Amino acid sequence: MAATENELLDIIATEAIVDRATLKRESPLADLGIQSLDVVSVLFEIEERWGVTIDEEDLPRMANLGEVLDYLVARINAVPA
Amino acid sequence: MAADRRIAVTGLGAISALGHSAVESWKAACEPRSGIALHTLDPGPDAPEAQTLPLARVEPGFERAVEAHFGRRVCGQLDRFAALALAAAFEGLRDAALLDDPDLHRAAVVLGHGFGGAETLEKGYQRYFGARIPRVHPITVPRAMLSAGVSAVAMSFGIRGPVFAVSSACASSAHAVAQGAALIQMGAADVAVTGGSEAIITPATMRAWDAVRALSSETCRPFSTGRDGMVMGEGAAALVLEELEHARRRGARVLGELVGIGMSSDAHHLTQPSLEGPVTAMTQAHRAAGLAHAKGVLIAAHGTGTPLNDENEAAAIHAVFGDRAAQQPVIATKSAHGHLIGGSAALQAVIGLHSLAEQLAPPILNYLGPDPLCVLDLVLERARRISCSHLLVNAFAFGGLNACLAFAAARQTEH
Repeated sequence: MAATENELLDIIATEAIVDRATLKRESPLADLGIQSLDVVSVLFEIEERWGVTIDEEDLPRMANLGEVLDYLVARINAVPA
Repeated sequence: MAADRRIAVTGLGAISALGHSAVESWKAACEPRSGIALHTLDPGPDAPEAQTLPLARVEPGFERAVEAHFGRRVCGQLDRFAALALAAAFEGLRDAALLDDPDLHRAAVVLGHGFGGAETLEKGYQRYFGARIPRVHPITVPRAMLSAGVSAVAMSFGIRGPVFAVSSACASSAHAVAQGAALIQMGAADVAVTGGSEAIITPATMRAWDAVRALSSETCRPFSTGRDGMVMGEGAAALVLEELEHARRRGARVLGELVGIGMSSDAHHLTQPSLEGPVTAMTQAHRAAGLAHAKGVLIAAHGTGTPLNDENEAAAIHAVFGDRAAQQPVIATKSAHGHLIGGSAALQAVIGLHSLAEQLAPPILNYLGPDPLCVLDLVLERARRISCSHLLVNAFAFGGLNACLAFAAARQTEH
């Protein structure tokens, strides 16, 4: 099952406990109030839903939410079904 | 209890299947309204079939008040049992007008829980054993530990005095109130946030409870003929205890006074009660509070609705009160809010203290008829006007751990 940007935004809003409406592609990560443990929670949720393991240490430096979404969608959907 | 440092109750909080506040819970019990309903617990794809059973669950949204104060993140990283405890503590401190008190950092926090973070543990185990994912979430341990609730309360309110959790199964929050009172009496604190919480309505934990054969398949009917067990509830309750002179100096509203404590152990059996243990604890509280001379004692019974507990408790009440046993009104609110295990005694104390203040006692629900082994002055059918000066709260736990709390009505504390 392919992941969509919308699903990922739902997961980020839930796991990081932030208002879904504030999550814009151009939002700088520093402004979103997402903490390191929240990132771990998002990665755990991705693992449970799509069976794709992404280590926190593997995450490249990313400046805004759009880059994060593109990276996660690519990683999840790169796995053969 | 020692007379030099008397223990006032200056704040109450409660989250239960009956409502999201202490007053809501008491009013619903008096209406009377039951929080018990059939629920289906779905354990997910890796587990056996779903289980349907009567439960008393807390309605969503209980975090609203505490999150309006501290922000949405405050409950997000907590297990349900800790979030419930925090919400009840918030209400209790607000009720006591202590939220902005400059000395709140010197307070104590003592809460009781029977189990800790069942939801967190089950989710972790489901990933590990079920989905076979080797990585466990780094927050699993700090979420699940029994002290997660008191830590959340201490951190949220900046409380830096003695802070710890206690555990004695179904008597946990009665022991917590007793320990909080002891801290005040020994001078370690002037204010103690006490009480307890529980949130173990999770699929595997409820299967474990089912295996104990203590759960009713229908509903909770304390002291009634045809009773067949308890109904699991969830929630939290908080009693803010305060040294009486401290409360008077800051002009606090005194809701009642803790005037007697009894604690004992049966040293008998893991699941079967003895008569001697409960009688010992009740007698200690009865003597310390001078209940022999009380105008009337409202008894908030442990009243689980299991055949053995209620029969044993009725015998204990007769043993302690003697000729006056049949004259004391007995309430058993687990028939409305279920059994909160570690949180039960505190919730029953909160509802009992409201009943004492208003002189209106909530009825025992689901009663089918008298059991000759439980002949007491049961409050039945509808809320009853009472004429009581004192409240006695009973808590008798698996493993034979007993704790009883005696409170005097606020007007009794004037002198």
